[in-house]
Amino acid sequence: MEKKQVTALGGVNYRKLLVDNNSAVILLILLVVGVFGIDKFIKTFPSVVVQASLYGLLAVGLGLVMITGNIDLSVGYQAGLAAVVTVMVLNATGSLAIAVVAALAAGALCGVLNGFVVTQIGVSPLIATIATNYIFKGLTYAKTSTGSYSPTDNSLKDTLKALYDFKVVDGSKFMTLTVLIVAVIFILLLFVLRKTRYGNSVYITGDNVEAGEYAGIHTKRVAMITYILCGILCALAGVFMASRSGGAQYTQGDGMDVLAVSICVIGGIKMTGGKGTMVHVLMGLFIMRIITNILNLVRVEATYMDLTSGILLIAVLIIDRFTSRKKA
Amino acid sequence: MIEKNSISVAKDPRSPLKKFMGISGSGVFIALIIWIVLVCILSPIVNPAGNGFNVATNIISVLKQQTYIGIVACALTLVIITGNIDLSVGSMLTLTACVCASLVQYGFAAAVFGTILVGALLGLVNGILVSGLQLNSFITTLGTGSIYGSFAIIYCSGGSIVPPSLAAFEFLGKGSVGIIPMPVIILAVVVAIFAFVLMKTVFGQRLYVIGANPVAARYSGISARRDMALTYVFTGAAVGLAAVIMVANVMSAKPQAASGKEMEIIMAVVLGGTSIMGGKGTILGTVLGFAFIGFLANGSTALGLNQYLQWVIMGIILVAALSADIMKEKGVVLPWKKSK
Amino acid sequence: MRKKSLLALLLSLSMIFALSACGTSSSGSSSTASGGSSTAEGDSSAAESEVPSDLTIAYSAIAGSDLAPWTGAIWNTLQSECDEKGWDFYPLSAAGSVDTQAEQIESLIAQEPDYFLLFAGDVNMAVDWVKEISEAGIPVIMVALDVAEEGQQYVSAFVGPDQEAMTQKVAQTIIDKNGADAGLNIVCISGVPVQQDYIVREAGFTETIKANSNYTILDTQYAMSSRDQAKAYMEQYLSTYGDKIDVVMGYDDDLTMGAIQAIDEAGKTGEIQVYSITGQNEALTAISEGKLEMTVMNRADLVAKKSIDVVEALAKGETVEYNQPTELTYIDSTNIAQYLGTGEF
Repeated sequence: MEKKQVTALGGVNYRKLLVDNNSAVILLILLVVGVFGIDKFIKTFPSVVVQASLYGLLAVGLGLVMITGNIDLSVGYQAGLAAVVTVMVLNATGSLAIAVVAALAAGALCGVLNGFVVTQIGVSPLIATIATNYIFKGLTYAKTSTGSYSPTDNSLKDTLKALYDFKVVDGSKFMTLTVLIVAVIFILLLFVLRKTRYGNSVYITGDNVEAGEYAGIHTKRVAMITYILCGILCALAGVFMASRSGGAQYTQGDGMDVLAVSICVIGGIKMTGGKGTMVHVLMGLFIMRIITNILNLVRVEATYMDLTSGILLIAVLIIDRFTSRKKA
Repeated sequence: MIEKNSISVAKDPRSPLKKFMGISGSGVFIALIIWIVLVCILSPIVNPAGNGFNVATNIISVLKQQTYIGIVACALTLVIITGNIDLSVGSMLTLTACVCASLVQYGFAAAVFGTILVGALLGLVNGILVSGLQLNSFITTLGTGSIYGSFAIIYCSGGSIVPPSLAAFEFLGKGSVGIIPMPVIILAVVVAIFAFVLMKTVFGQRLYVIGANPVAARYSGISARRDMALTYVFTGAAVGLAAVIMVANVMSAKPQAASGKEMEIIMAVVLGGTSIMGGKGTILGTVLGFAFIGFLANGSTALGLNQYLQWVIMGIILVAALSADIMKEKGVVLPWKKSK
Repeated sequence: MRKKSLLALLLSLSMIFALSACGTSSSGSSSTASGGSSTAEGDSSAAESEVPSDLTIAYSAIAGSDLAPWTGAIWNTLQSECDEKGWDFYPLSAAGSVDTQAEQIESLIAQEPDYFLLFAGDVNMAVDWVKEISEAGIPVIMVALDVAEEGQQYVSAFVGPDQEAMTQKVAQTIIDKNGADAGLNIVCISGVPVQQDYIVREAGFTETIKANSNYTILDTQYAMSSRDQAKAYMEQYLSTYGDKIDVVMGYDDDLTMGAIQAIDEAGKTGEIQVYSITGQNEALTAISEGKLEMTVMNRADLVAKKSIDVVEALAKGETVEYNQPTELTYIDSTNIAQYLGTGEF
């Protein structure tokens, strides 16, 4: 007798999710520990959500690419470059709207470069994106070498910052425009991946390229589109970063790719591709941010945060290895 | 009876050019030559204050500066040939350097062999995780990298470690035999050893097999996994050796010393024609790879280029080299060479 | 089982939203200090009050010992000073990332400290930060780097070395020593290109040289935090510019030591004048050996101690001057005997 598939909230089978995925358990444990064990956890939570939203964009972009079986290690500096472009165009045209569009276009171009090298030429995505990362890094640093690259006019600067600070619900620290936009993107992608043909082909491309080709899916095109999407998402993150700081910073580009990969892997997206959903990315995101928050509140030094994330990564891998063996 | 003359050994139909291009690392060799020529011509024009670019003296200084990267890159070549990767080498270098600096007070043997041993142990951890537990090498070494980096800071309690003077030890980093600096000699020895291991030992040949066919390797049992673990141990030991030379060179170690080096090391290996998917690669290619990176940096200073431009150039050349490699492999026919 | 797991996941997701909404209502206005103690700056009692015990001092640093010994020294001295006074010291290090620092500041504000010490990674972003902190009712003191002008209205005091003056004076010393028309060639080795203190130092140096002399700065390279990278750059300079180099300016002693080694090994000691800053012990030794012309001792522990003094003064209700510069000692061969071995690290 066929049991009815639980398909609430975007068609994701939650039972399978929980059983296949230790990340949900980890997240729950963290939440319980935080709420009941840590002083001021609840109070600092809104800022956790807001801060998470930026990293979330990068992780989502990377997650999409990972599901197609590729990887993109240039996410950090795609964002950085976009931030620079935002300020440049803002200075040149005085219009925030045009600047944002320009930044997104720049991100799309980055994605085209990545996609071209990986899908058309066929270079391994790991090395290809390391190489493109260097290119983007150089371009970003060229403009931000003196620390921060800000709009020349103070009023322009204010306009830029207003974007990030804009509160959808007055007085609420948590409901900012950024969070809203990111949440919308999350939900959109959740449905796209499950319900649209593109989404379907993303999974097939990641799972088995040959089968996909036989089924008539242009896997190369799918992978290329995904890289472009990733580029646009990173660019959006870059715009928000520029907005938050009132200018373009040399971002922690080197750290961000590691962070984004950690988020995806800890959340449960497999490196081999073909598996994973936006919910996984969300879980990974919150796990990382909550741990950081807890460590901050418990006054653990920054050194130990790196240590913790390293151990966590390996722990997740080991747990995964042993739980999947059980089934086999 | 078969006429002697009618037996002809099949001749390699490729033209000499094609044969040369088939050698791993030939792409970067050409790029290197082009770059050196460019720098020699341009530097007096672009940077008149400078003395131009003297190739001879620069070869030695490039090799000297690239010693650390070179030594580790040789070992990493083995890892990559088996289809794995090691992203923790940068942090390992930092950690072993700190350990080394603190061991100098106990004498030459402790400082040198102790450090190499520590490096090998760190590598062993990687090896156990990747080949023993069969975890994904990318994520695993990403994780161990973070962990080793944190250990370095904890070990040094945040400060730098300045070892006491020890002439024999310092000679390793600062001394020279004739005009050739010690580090370069050590580098040459390491290159020779790894080249020998890779090309002339059964172990080396097995690595290619593992890389080319990981599934079969996994089923062939313990020996493949042991080989993979060994490559990580070698990498760790190589890192230890590099750390020894680094500390001997500057006589100090800081836990904050830049650990972006793993990317450069990987690039050196890949530029040399070693495929990241495994199964292919040579030490010669790796040597050309790190030599190229070194000349890129040196030449850029001679041209007065700033760091950022160097990164862009490095990225573009890497993409070009990789693309060339792939196109060669897949036999992409250049549009203007199409016959008929 | 299925329903339970579904419920579990929905529960966790809704918790996330609920927490955020909850947090909203209780965040924001927290002008009451914790645990019934200190008087904030505005509250000045008629007579001098006793030094309060039981203060909570929040410290947001762009870095602690994870980035450089100097930042580590500030951190550690602050810690020990607070321990001595029985105050609660709550530090967070952003490990060099300005974005992380922004987040940490929010965490720290939520802790409702009595005073906030801020060692900012970016003086422009700091304007928003100090605004936020002061709107939460917490007095803020800038440590080591001052906030950009628009932010100074929110800040009680700035304690730290005048980074610009440091290198300006070094530049002027070079000019005075060699003559403004000597046409010298200078190469520079700096640290992290995007770090504020290096930026300010470089600006101070290059502007003074340009304005007061006819010297040429041939090149500046960034060795990050690595002495062996600095040594490599010096070797490259020697091969590219050779005898043309007259002066080497190092923006941090640790890096300059690398350059000095390169010069030594090339046998050019004495032909090239080397100048540096920080005041590390190795550099002091180098001065006594004639390998270094001058360094500027910029003690981190003084910065920390003075910051604590300012906090104490504010807690007692005293008015405090905005600018609290810490001492800089210019050491060269004339006064080296006095300072040899006294470096902080």
